[in-house]
Amino acid sequence: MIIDETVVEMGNADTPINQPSFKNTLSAGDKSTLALAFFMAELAKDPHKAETIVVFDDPFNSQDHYRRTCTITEIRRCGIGVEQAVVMSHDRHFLREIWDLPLPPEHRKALELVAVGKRDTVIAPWNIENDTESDDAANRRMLNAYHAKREGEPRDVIQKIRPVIETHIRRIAPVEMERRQR
Amino acid sequence: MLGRNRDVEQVPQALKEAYDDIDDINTYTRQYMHGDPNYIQGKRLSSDELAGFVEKTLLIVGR
Repeated sequence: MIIDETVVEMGNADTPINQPSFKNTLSAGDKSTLALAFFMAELAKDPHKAETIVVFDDPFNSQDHYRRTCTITEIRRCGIGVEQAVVMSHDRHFLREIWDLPLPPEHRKALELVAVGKRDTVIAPWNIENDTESDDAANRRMLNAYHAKREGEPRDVIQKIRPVIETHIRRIAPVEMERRQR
Repeated sequence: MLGRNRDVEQVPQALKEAYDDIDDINTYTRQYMHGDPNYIQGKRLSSDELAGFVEKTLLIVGR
């Protein structure tokens, strides 16, 4: 592999520390991405792939945005070809991106670990869409619910009106909004 | 929230046309935007009036 015009050998456990190798040259993100790539390549050749359950444990760890986006694409591709794919992560927003991939609803499930007391944990259904929506989406949902069904506490609803309008103006006329805020 | 400036070219026409409604909404909501929650609790609030302003807001921002 060539990094910044320097040839870097893969190396092994016996490679001296003063000699460039994957061990002392790649960043944590590089190593994580490379490991995932090797795993994906191996899986692609596995004749039992269709009967395999694949577990990704925090695959986005130390990855930059571009790599995360590629990882999401690869996880989706993998999920189509295997029996089941499980993705575990602390990064709820990237889990949401995986959730939003065009999969049939009956083919996906979001679960979370919920602490019970001081020592126990249970696995419970996770309302990922509510948990990961933006403030604006949550505010709009509240206004729509009040408009359609008069749901919600009026004093809470009224607090959402201005933020929703401000976000809207910021979106469609950012220059004007910025000028007004100076 | 947003002052009047109908001459600013960068402002989309739809927003310019909504200025009067935004002003109304601004005036209405201002009385309930207060740092002290007890102040808000003490204010009278008509649910019908609120529903009208919510509808006006949704017409501006889209549903």
